[in-house]
Amino acid sequence: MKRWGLLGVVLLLLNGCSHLKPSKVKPWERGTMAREDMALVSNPVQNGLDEHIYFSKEAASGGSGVGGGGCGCN
Amino acid sequence: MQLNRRLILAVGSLLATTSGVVQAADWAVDSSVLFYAEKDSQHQDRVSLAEPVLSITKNNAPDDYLNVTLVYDTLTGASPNGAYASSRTQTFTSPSGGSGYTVAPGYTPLDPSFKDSRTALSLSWMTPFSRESRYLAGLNFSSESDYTSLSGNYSFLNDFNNKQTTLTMGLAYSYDAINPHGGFQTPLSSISNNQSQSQAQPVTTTSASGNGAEGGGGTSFSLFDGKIKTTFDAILGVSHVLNRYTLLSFNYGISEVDGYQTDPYKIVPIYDAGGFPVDYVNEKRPGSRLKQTLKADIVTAIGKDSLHLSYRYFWDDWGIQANTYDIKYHLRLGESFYAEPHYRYSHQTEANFYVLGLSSAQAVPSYASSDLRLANMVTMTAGGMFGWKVSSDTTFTLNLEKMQQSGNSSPSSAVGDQRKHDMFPTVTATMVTLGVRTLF
Repeated sequence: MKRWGLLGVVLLLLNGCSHLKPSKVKPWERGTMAREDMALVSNPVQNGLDEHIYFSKEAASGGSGVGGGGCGCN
Repeated sequence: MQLNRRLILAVGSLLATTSGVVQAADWAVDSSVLFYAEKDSQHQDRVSLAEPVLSITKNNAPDDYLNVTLVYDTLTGASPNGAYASSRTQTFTSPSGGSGYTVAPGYTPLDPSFKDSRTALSLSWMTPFSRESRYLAGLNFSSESDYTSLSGNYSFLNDFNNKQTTLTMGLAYSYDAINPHGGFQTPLSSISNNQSQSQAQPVTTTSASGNGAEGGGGTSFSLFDGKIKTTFDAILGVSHVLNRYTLLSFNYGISEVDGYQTDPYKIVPIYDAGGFPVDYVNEKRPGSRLKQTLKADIVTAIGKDSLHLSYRYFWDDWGIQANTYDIKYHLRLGESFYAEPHYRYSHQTEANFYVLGLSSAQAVPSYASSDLRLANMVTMTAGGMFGWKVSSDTTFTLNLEKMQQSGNSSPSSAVGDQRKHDMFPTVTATMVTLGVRTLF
């Protein structure tokens, strides 16, 4: 429950900052979105390494995957 | 899994496509090396790994590219064999084909002969169909001394709503062959009956269902000898540019795994009324598994920084459910440096055939595994990345993280001697990644 509470606080703060208000975005208004750090996966190689570790060490997987094909580690 | 990752990369490219602000470089080369080492709360060193990665991307346009990624990893060290700590000395023959080993009282048994290397090659490309649609395809191959995998994936992406919304539909299929050192052993039979490597018969290739005879096994003659595991993945995703600062993404994934899913190196203890192990049997897992995931991501800009939040719910028909939360903050430090603190929390419930051990008085069940990765468990990861943009086309990164896995050290099912020992030693892993990204 604590984790949900923390997430809720973060989302409320974002909402207060208008970050969760839908609006039309023209192509020329997407400069911020084009930043490298705004990608869903901003560092694919590091993400692949992390997901490979989680896949090897946990029963749950998927959603963001592992890089470089299959693995006999799990 | 590969499919899902490619999907996210594909959705991410939507932004650059529509911005018209950033012109992608022709070539991008990412090279990294990961160092990973584990230790448990009983001060036993476990697995260590070194994993170099080389990823080369040729960009023709933001949604028209080709990527080749090569991964090599080498693992050594000791891995839990499934047995638990006892007040008595425990002796094992190694199912991985090595010589036997002895474990002192009070320690969780680890098979010290764990050693393997893996080479993986991935090829993926994205090609536009029109201004609003494109496809992403990929081929992946990986090879270990006892495991080979070949997979392919295809996703179709279509933009709507003046390119503020993207719908993605994807499919993937993988064909894996397992050929363990020491051969396949009879599941749920005593390890004292296991054939040694020198006695093993040449392995027999089974059908894709993988549920043929479980005995035999041994020498590998080709990459796809052994028992087969197939995985069929499907995914449906939608991403939406909510406003100038925020991107949302929702994915549903379903995965059907059929064939050999038993870990050939794991055993299950048989214990007496006092909780002392009197024998060990080879584990056995079901031959099919249906996995599903729901995942939500939000990325939002906060000035020159950005916040990444992620939540994933996982469930399968083995009885496992997992909730995973991930938070990362990209903190820009001037023009040349950045820091990315990261925290991940994941809790999973145990598989319905997970057991600490089997009582010698009970009937042998259809399936049983004592692999702690199938137990009720919490994994926490904390750390972060530090980046240094040396020039407009070269960035160095250092990623430092600690991961801790903990479970129930004193389960209610423990009896007798089991209550005197830690049934789930906490494992702490240290991960260090050095990376460099170069644009040409």
